[in-house]
Amino acid sequence: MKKKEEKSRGKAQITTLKTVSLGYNPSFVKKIGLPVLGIVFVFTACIVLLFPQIKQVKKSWELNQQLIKERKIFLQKAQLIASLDEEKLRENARLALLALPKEKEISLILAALKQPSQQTNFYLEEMEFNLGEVVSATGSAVSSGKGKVSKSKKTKKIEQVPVKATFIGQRRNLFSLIEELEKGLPLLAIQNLEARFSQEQQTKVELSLVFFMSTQQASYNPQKITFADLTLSDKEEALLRQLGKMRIPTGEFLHQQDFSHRPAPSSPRENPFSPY
Amino acid sequence: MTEAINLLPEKSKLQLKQLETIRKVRLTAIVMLAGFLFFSLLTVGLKFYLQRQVAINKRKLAESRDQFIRYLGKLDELQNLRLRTKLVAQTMERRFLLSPRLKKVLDLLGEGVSLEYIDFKGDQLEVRGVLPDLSSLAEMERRLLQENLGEVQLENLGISEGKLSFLLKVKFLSR
Repeated sequence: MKKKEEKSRGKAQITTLKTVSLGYNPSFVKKIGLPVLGIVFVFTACIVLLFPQIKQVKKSWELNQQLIKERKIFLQKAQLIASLDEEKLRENARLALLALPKEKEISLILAALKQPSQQTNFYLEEMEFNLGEVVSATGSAVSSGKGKVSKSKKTKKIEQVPVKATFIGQRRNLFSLIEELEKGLPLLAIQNLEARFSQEQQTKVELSLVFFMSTQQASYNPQKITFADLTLSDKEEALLRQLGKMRIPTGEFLHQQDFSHRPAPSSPRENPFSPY
Repeated sequence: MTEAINLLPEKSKLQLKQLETIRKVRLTAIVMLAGFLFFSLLTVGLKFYLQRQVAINKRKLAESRDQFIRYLGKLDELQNLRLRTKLVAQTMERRFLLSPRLKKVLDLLGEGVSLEYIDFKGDQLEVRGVLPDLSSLAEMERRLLQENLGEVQLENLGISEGKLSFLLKVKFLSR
């Protein structure tokens, strides 16, 4: 008994000694272990789970903002296009096409020569032109007025259609004839002129002219179109006003021609926004 | 000031410190856990909300694009107009206009001139005519030199029947 008592006292002393010297307390370790584990768990969970989710949330937020911004831009652009005066647009398009046709229109060339000559009391005695390869309604090639067929070359931005014309009239009206030709539509340039003046005040004028045309079509990406592209600039407006003041060909040569807006082809336009 | 007397024995002091430590660590753990739970729930909630918003806005964007497509015809017309206007401007700038230059030359020839022919090729003009006298030729030459037409050449072709024939060659300045 005494020995047992001594042993237990000894153990208690050792435990006390340990507690006093080392601060080691098994119940303390147990009690603090769980909260520490909890803290470690929270840190790990934050790194592994929470932060990636926060990143995803941030990406979704940015995507959302971008979608809202894109939608706003599309709506603004649609509104701007809708506000364009369609009638004015067509009139301007007509003017531009009259100035620089996109096809080699014989009737237009005839009208462009006939009207100035009538106004200046000249008459068109002879006309010679070579339109190059002109495709008929059947799709076969047609020769030009003088039996020449030139092969189609690589399409240039602005093409020239050479025409030779002979006018006869009063010499005093010669300058007026030239002026009327140059200030009318479609645009032309006089390359050669030979005017012979007779005693009777008559003048025979042989002109080599070029008419200008262009088959160019606008190609653009609707997605990348800017707000500036949706309105005419000041220079463009000024030029169209200038064209409006020039002599526009009229008469029997033009009543069949339709320079107004051609309706869209029956096949629907491809959706430029489709991914395929 | 008298010092506080610590009546607690050393062992009890240590235990007290340990209890304090345990309390603080537990509190920290609880707060961190609560915070983690709160932010997790917030994040998950935000995630689902934003996913829904993205789906809604994608649909709205598609609708606005459809609306834009409806105006593509008008847009085509406008872009073609702008291109053609640009080409017209280029053409007008580059073409050689004869009428203003010819007008200048004819005005400079003065009164009393009788023209025989006018030839124009490219940028070179030739005018042949008859003047009433020699002084008219000198006067014409003076007027021509005053104007900056280009290269001017005036030839006296001789006198016939009391009238002076002349040949005027002008090589116009290019634009």
